[in-house]
Amino acid sequence: MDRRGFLKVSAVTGSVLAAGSSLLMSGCSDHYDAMIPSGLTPQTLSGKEFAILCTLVNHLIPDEPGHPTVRDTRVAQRIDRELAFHQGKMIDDFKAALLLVEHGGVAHGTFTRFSRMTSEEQEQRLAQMVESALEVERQAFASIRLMAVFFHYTDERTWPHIHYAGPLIPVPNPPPADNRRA
Amino acid sequence: MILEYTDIKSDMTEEADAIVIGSGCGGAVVAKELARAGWRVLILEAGGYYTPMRGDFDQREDNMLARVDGGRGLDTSANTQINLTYGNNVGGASVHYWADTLRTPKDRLEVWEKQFGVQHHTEDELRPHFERIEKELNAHLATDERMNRMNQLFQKGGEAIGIHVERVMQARKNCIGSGYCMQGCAYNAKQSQLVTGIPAALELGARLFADCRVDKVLFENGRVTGVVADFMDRRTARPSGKKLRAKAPCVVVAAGGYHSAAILMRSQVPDPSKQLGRNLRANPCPMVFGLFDEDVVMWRNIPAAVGTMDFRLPSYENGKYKEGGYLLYPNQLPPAAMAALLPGYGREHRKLMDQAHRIGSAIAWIDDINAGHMELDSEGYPIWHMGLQGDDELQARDAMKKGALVLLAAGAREVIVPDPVGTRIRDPKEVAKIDTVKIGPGQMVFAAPHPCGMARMGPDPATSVVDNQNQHHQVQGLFVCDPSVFPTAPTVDPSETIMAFSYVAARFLTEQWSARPVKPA
Repeated sequence: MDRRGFLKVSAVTGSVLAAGSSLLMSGCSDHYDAMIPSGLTPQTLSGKEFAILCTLVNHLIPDEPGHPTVRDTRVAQRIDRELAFHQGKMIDDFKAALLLVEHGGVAHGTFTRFSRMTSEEQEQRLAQMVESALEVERQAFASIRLMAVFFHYTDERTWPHIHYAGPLIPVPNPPPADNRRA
Repeated sequence: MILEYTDIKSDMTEEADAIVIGSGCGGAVVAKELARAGWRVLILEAGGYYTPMRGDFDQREDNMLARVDGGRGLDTSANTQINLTYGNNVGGASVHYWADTLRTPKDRLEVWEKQFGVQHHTEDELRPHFERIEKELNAHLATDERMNRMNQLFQKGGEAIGIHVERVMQARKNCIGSGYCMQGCAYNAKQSQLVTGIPAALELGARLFADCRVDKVLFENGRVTGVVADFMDRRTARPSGKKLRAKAPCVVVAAGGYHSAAILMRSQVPDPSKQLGRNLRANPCPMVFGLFDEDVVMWRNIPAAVGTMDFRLPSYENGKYKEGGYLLYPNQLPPAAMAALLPGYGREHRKLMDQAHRIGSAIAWIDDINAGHMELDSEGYPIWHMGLQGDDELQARDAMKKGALVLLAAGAREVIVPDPVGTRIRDPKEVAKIDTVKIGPGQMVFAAPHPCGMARMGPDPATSVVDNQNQHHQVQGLFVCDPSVFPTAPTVDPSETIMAFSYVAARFLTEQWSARPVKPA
């Protein structure tokens, strides 16, 4: 996701959130604090934004026995860190995208925050975003999804599950390509 | 001599015969040739200097995307439909390109000559440069041992449906087929500018400042006078606070197809033609995936050892688009990039990734007809407005259909379309589904690795930005030497075209330019 690509997100999110401003103003910092791993302070996102991101990536890449979880691969932390290398507007837009996930259901008549939804409700909300007629909803979801999935699968703990042997660099004499047929 | 961010302790002032902004295929060639002629050349590269000698190329997708890709791989068009793929490092995009090396097709050079008035760039005039480039880059047809399973499957599938599949010229030397071409070659086997043009330029006396992002080109009374630039702190990707002010009677802007026009716009160079920042084309890449019953391991060995030119030019029937307008190749994606581009999320996505080694792919480079444009925001950052529209969308759909047919004919159990619902195609009769899949913004993403056109070449100042010698029409001594000058996309990988055009420009500068430095006998 790019600051340049998300220029419209802030404005649209602002409109959506204005409609649900009473929801936003109702505190809930304890609710979000409880979702942040103990001792972790986000580098770029606020506590609330980071908590929303944690909730979202947990849904995008659900736990599976025997597989590393998104907590193991620190997907939310890595996205938060990545944002630190980008500048002003992109960060603003990413934050707006997270708020759109959390509160954007208002535009569809859903007044429960994403982070308070059941897993089934979260799935409905995400499906709503994927299929949305609002371009900005689709963009917000697609961009966060792309980053989450990318960072998860750059963690070497996922590699055995996808049959990826990893970089050859540690091997002094790299083996020949292993996928050639005679 | 290379200076990096760690070497910069204070503001600097410099003087040179020529300042070259950018170190990719365009900048490296010009810098080398000017240095060969005895000019004092200063190369300014916004990105970092990375080299296998220091272990910088660690073959990790996350690290390398951040090091060698512009915007750390995350830049997009304003509507997020297009992922901007460009280099941000010494050597430019040639460090992450696929090494496919193709001459500009004669028909495209003729279009540029006849429709846009481009002179001195005919096939006959470029031939000696092509021959020289291919020798310098050790360009050769891909050998049998470089054919990975994906290449073999593409050939099998293509031939089964009557497509002519051919070997592709490769700029490689002693390639071991590691498969990390897109992450930058850790073995210096890919003949990027990092291992060819730049070392040659340095050996001839050019100096290079990495981590040095040019803010503006300076000019007075219609003549270029130099540049001002920010030294970047590579650790934070932000300006370090240290500045460079450099004087030169010749400034060559070669910052790539996405950024050269932005530098000119920030500099407020005259633009009477109103073409600066317009005519943006970038070869957006549609792709489809195929799930096979055998191991494909797409990420090993080289990408695009083969491909087909059968669809390079579009065909029309009764004035309406029929098919073609793209190159079709076997794809190569490293695993995390594959994960990001496969459709869906949750358990369905994990099931796909569990079979990642059995997933193959076909990719196309669309010769986009409808041009985008670029503007600057209030802080001077570029905003790129581009997306698939009109016939370009039809080309993308046709390319995905042809790719699907190739994969199915090669034995794919099913083809996976990367649309929001992950449409599956299990029989050639079903490819028409692709005519209606959603590919708009937020529904499908297209990488676009070959930007061009935003400072186009031509003889008429009323319709073009630079003249036939790459010199800006209104600012003497200001040259643009990268794909920004192409009137349209070249229909093939542009690296060889960029280099050939730069050789032409360098020859003009060193042999004919009236203000060229006079060296003592």
